[in-house]
Amino acid sequence: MRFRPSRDIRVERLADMTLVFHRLSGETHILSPEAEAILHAVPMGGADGPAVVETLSVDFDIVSADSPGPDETILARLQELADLGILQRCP
Amino acid sequence: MTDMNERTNENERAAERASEDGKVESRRRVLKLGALAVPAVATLSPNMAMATYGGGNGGGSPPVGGAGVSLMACTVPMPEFIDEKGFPVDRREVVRKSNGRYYRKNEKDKWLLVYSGPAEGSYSGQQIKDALTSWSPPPGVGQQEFQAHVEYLTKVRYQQVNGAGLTCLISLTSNLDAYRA
Repeated sequence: MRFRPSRDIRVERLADMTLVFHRLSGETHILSPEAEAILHAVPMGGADGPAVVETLSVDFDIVSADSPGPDETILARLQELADLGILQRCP
Repeated sequence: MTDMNERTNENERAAERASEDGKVESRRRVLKLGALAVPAVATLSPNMAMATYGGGNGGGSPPVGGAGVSLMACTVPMPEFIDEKGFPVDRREVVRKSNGRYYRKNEKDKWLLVYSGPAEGSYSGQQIKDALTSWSPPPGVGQQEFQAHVEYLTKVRYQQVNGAGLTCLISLTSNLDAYRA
């Protein structure tokens, strides 16, 4: 499964928060720092879960609170962002 | 002397490596991934804003309490005439035939039935949801007429035609899709 940022979003920083406005739904999403990092690690051309993990690994030491581990957690976060329309699933 | 120079060079190289390592170390940050059970995103729905301010529903309705209620207080303005495919029709294109029904010609010169929009000029989100989930049109609206209305609402929802009420229709997407499936 590959993901890319939706073309219908606008990302704005407000103080220490990252807000994403989704044009079609009219919804505004407040991203946690981890969601923000994951979103920024997804290139416009699209990437799959392992590629996003690799990108994040370059800039971050990743610590996961869950037992499945960082890879599964990041993949789950990608799905969560896609379900909200912030990311699009792409071929 | 040569040994000393070599040792100095080696020390310098080691210092450079340590310095480079230090630079890499300083660029790295810790990304803490939270528990999966906790969402990483909090969403502010425009319907919540409507619940507070009572605006944005196009009908000047009084403020209502609770996001769940306000979601259905939204309004979708409807065209005066809609053809059977769900496209809005300009009144000047409408022709009344001898069978008493109204038609328009599409771009392929084919006659399409034309229906009126709802008498109120709009549907509330609640009206649309009730009609879609009960599989029966709102009072005073014929079955085929409502079918054309649903085609129009779906086209607006998926931005195949320009129309108002997109935010309202997005909240009704699952109902629209289930009705047309």
